Amino acid sequence: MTSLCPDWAVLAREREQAERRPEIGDANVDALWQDALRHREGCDRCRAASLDVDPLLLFSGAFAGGEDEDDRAGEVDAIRRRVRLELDGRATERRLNEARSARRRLPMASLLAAGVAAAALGASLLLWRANAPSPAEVAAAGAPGANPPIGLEDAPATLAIADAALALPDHIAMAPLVEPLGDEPLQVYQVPGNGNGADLDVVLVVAP
Amino acid sequence: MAWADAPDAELLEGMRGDDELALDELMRRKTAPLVQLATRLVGDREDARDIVQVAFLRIWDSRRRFDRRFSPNTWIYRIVSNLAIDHLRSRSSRLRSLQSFQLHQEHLAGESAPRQLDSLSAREVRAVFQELASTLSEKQRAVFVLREMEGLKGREIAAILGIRPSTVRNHLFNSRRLLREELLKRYPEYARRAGARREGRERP
Repeated sequence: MTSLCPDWAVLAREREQAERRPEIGDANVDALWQDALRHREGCDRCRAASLDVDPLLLFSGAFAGGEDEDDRAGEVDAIRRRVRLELDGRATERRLNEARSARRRLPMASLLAAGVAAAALGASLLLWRANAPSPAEVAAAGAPGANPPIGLEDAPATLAIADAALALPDHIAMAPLVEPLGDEPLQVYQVPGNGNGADLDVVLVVAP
Repeated sequence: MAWADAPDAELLEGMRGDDELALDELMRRKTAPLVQLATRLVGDREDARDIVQVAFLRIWDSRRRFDRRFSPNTWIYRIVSNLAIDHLRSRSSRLRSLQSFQLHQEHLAGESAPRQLDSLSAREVRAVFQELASTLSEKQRAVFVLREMEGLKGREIAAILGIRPSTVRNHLFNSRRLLREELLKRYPEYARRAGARREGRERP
């Protein structure tokens, strides 16, 4: 026994008494206990003395067996590698699932877009038909006497009247097509019909 | 960011930000002590490795739920201890513990004379503990391991196991009493000397 060897009987009794307190243990006693256990690792006398006091101290601290080196060799790396593999596997699985979901979503999106386009087209037609002039109104607008005879000189003015009479909705109405005709000093004007087959487009060739 | 010098709490913060390098550093630091703890709790090193692997995955999965009121070690020990207790409750692990006990019995049967406690190797000490601890409940065993082998304080054990300090104390004293009784019953040659000394001390 050396002067550093603790009195295991006293130490064990103090520790057990401290453990009966509400906080279960005392910081000072615990610190002394841990010091004593560390000391025991290198002290044969203390190994025997501590076990004489309480054979359960066989299981305390490093006496219970730090792990063997050969057990520990490579263990940390192996577990890290297994965790990394698992996380990588999960990431791959997540990406695959996302790709599968995207593929499932694509036809739905296409159908939805087609549906929206069809609905917009239908609504436009309904709106246009509701606002379009009747054939009678168009005929009246074009009846003899209703407007002066159309001459080439009057064409722009006549077109303005016809344009106003059509009064197509803004989103459908086409501005009269005006374009030069090659190098000739002529211009082509086109006024669209009402789209229901009752009226034809009017095309005028104008020499300014 | 290099995590090598960061304290554990910062590693957990890094993990909250999805930094897998922080997890890697945590594994580098904690794998060895956690495998040792899990081995002491379940008695089988291979099972302990599996438990620690699952524990790290669980730590990663619940990294945003880490309660900052706990110390990182308490939180990590709690995850490992819960997994180990679940494992102990499963029937197969009991069978494996029994196998290690049988191996130890065979080993002892081959010896001509009983050995002294203080001459047992670390492996033998572990085998004796596994045998004796099979009489304890999972919680009693966990309290004994955390207190006697890991050297944790009572309130830390209470936080890890999610039980009241008074329950920790009851488990601690009951586990010691049961282990002493089992030691005396199964290894009278080990307990005789200590028992004689104790009786002498207690005699008025």
